[in-house]
Amino acid sequence: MAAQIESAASFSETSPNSEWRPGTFALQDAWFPVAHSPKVRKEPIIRFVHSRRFHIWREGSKIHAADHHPSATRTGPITHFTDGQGRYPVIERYGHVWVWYGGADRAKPEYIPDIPFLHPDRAQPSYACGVNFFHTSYELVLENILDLTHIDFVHGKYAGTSESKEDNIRYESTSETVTMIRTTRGRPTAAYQRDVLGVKEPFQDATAFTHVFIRSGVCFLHSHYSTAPSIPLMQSNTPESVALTRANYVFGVQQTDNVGYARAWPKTASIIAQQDESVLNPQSSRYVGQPPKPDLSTRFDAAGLHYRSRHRSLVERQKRGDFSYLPDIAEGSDLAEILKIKRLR
Amino acid sequence: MISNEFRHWQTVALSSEVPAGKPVPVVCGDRDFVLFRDSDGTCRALADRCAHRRARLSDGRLTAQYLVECPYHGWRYSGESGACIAIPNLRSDEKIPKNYRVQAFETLERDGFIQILLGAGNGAAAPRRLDLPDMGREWQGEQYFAYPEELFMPTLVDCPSSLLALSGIEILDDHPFGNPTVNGDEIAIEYAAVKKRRTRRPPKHVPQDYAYTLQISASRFTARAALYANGDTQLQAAALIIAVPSGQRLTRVMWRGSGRADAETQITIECRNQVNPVPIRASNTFVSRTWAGTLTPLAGEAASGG
Repeated sequence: MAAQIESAASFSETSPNSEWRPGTFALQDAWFPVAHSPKVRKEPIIRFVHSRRFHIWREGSKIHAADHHPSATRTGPITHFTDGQGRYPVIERYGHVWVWYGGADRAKPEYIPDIPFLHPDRAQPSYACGVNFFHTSYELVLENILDLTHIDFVHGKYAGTSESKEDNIRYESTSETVTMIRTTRGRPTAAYQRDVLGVKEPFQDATAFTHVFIRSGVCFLHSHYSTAPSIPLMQSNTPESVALTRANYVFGVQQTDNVGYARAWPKTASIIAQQDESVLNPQSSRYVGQPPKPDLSTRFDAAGLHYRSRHRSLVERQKRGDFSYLPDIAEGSDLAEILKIKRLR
Repeated sequence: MISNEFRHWQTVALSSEVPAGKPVPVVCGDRDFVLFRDSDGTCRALADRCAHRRARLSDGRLTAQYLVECPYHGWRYSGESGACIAIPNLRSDEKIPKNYRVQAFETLERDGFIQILLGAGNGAAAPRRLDLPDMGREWQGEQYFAYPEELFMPTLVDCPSSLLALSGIEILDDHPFGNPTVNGDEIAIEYAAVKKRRTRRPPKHVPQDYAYTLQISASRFTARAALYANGDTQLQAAALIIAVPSGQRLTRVMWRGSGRADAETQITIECRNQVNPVPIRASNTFVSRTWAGTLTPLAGEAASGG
């Protein structure tokens, strides 16, 4: 990957003028996986992206997304987000329905990432899918996801605690994505791995990858443990409003041969989401709608701080009317390479 | 709202609300504090907002070294100075900068309440006296009201029965004993009170002699209520009531009380579970308007006296 690869200074203080104000700008021109495919049927369902309403339904083999109910007479203003008749660009792929939020004439299917652990034309089994909601802006959810040191405290039972012999964070980025790579050595085996997976070794080495798409909020997570299996995760993190993030999730359960684990691990998603919600919900009102204030950081926050910087660059470009994708888009979309996992074929 | 302009002591909690070994959140106005006890039991107060990612420290835990640990990433803070003492997984050559800290507040624990020193500047600030007479029987409590804090004390002086519950005693809001007296930022008023009747039958005659006097004196956040028996002028029970704004929509009320242990009727003065609107509808705002300076009931007396 020819992207920027860096480690960070031990300590840093964000500038109060750095304009990190989550929930104040709606990045556009991106595909948002707003629903799992089986959820979309003949009767329309409603989804929101940045407070914009999408009615989504099926007609035979075709899928539709519009700013109005199919049985209603359209009355709202025509905008460049639709085709002139209130219809949004929509695609069904990887078991998700993706809607385009942005200039309708700029929607290109190749902007959807290449997801190696999902079948392009088939949904995952229902036990591998679900949805959680976070009562905060999606920028804070993404920062939380890029910040893998929080799992030691918030999700310690499932991911192990903080007492590693060695703990290093690196990040990579493109103009559209940020990847966090955490390498730990001599990390205590998590209670879940010990009790459910039967891992005997008290310590393990691990490399965890988190990869986020800045515009849409879609993220991918995968870990490689020296002593235990792991399953990759895709989570949508769709900004329904400045105060509510929809997290449709799906696990690549085919990546493990351990059938019991493939069935059991997805059940932890709602528990882990509740743990995240316990910190994200109170955090929300301290960022959203507040004037910028400095945050203190360590080298473990490097990826999140870099996300803030990349997010700011995109906002500045879009404020100038530049919604284009730069040539490095392909580098951030090759998830098999980024997450170091095999393709499902 | 709680002022940040001048230095003052603000009562924020009952002592009993802060047990050893556990951080406790307190919201006062639009500010969040975390309270916890040190090794010697001293109550410490810090801003309840981690300097790292603004998580609530009060959702964390107290370590064996009596440091409060953030639940999000495990940053640990000293209660005395607010300094960040430890961050997990740093190398030994990575020393935490001195500006890594949260705001720490001076605390004072007396009379069963915890006060913290707020506001800017170096001006003198005297802690509030919140003592009660020792009458051998004590109680305390706390309660949230979905009622604006700025209306709590005015309602208490206009219509005490809407907010107070006196065991076995009925407060007669429509029967004040004399005019209110205003002294600085404090107002005092007395109301008649009688024993509650056990039946719903109306009395055969209007009682001319009331058995009790309820004396209320209130300032911005603090009120004292005292119940005297009119027959022997003995104090039966007293309570100290603190009301502080908690966020934008709630008022947090704390109280401590003391009462005669030897009396035949053991009376307590406590806050109701919620505001009773019925007596408010029947009451007027004479007392609170006097307090606010929009009424001058003693003007004629003052004129004749002057």
